[in-house]
Amino acid sequence: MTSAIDIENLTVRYHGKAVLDDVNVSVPAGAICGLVGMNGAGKSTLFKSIMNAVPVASGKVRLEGHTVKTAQKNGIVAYVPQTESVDWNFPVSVRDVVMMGRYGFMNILRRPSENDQELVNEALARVHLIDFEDRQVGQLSGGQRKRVFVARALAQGATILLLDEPFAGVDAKTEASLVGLLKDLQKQGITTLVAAHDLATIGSYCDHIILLKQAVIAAGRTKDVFTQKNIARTYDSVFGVKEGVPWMR
Amino acid sequence: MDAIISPLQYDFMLKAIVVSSLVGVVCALLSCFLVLKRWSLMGDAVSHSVLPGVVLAYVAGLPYSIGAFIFGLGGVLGIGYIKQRVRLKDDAVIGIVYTTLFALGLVLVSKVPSNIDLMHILFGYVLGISDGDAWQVGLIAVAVTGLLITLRRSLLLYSFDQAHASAIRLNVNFYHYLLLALLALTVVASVQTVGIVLVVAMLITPGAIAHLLTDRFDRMLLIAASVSVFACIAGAYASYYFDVSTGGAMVLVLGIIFLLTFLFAPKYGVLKFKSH
Ligand SMILES: Nc1ncnc2c1ncn2[C@@H]1O[C@H](COP(=O)(O)OP(=O)(O)O)[C@@H](O)[C@H]1O
Ligand SMILES: [Mg+2]
Repeated sequence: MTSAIDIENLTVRYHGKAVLDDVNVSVPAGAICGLVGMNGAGKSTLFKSIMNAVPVASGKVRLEGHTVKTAQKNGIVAYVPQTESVDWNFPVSVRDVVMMGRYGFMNILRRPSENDQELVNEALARVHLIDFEDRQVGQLSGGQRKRVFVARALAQGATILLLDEPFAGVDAKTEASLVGLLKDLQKQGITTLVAAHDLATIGSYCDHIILLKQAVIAAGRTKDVFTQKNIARTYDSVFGVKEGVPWMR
Repeated sequence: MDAIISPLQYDFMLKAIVVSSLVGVVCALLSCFLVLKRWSLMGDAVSHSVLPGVVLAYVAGLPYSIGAFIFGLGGVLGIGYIKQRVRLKDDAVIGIVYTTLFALGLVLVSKVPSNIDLMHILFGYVLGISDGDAWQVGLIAVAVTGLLITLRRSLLLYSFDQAHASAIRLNVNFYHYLLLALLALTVVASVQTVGIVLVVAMLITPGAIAHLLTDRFDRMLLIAASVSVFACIAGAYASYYFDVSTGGAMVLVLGIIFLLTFLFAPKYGVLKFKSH
């Protein structure tokens, strides 16, 4: 398999302190890859470096073989923000937000064409939000809120999705339906990198896992790398690993 | 009816209404972005920073608007510069910078011999605006209004989600400084109508009222502009009939509309009507 995300020798420092230290990792195309690590492990920072949103000290990131800049110009990569970083009172509708996925392809006036409208309809249908297109975004449930931003990524034509802690504060049913959506998208060839610090379920739906603690502890197929030993090294101790979870061995 | 028509036979009244309505529109449109972007304090900052610029422009024999623009924009750029380099929070830096510039303005006004009337700069004097100034103000207002309307979608994206904006390679810095420059221009245009103290209200209240009344951004712009124009006209009449401060009356009307909206707005007022 070719890789969707390729990261080589990536180091990021905040105020001189390394937050990501010589990260080398790749995510195969079409994977649902979990990015696992404690709070502060550098998951969000890794996303930011993939999105060119943080100055990197050294290293290089390639997305489907392109530089980040080219990938962004072509709309290949999209970031689904953490819930708390969005102002849900903003006077924008579901459709408005999804349309923002098309903005990169418009001129400075951002006037949607017929084609843009159609792509937005399609994206809304793929995440089952067609009936909610006129809702103000704050008037959606937690799961629907995530779907809006996934739809925006789809309208953009993104084939790499970055989801930062999408399951934080979301109930089990919502999580299951979001996972269902990610699996649908996987069948359509979309690569997903999903960050989580809660281990309870991530092993059950990710086919690949990256264990991160400033540096990569282990990365690869879930069944190969998601072991007690690796988890313990990622989390300093076995604290936080729930006993009796079926996928654990 | 006659009470509405008869003041209009006076040139100064007509001019005041046209000029302050134009300024009202541009302030209102901008206020929508400021309120949503949590930049309300920036209006405060720019408007107060303008004062030394007005005085120095007078000394240099330049139009007041040039000095005001330089200091207004300089003030917020200075705030941005300091903010990135110290551990202080935004509000502290903003407060320090603009009060210092404002104080510099006060000192200059009291020392530099000029015919600048401090009260007019602080609280506006639209009934006495000269033809030249009226044209200047009108042109600025129309230009900024045009830009805000044309670029509203890009500015909205920039305000709503900077991460996505830069991910699709929208020039985030460009929109940041554009918004600041438009804010400075708007304040310059407002100096003579409501003055630099009361313009702060014009830069917050219309957007806040509209935000309580709608969930659609385009409608928010429209409501804010209408409310603001209404307040400007009402203020001009109030000042004609009751001989009260024009700027004061305009801002007071806005405040009253806000209070009514706060109470009675269908969805977001405190006395919600159960319509949904
Ligand atoms: N803007 C910033 N300035 C300074 N330090 C930061 C900044 N953002 C994150 N950090 C630090 O970098 C480390 C990694 O943070 P982050 O990538 O957010 O971790 P995670 O998403 O895994 O919880 C943490 O120690 C955090 O305190
Ligand atoms: Mg994080």
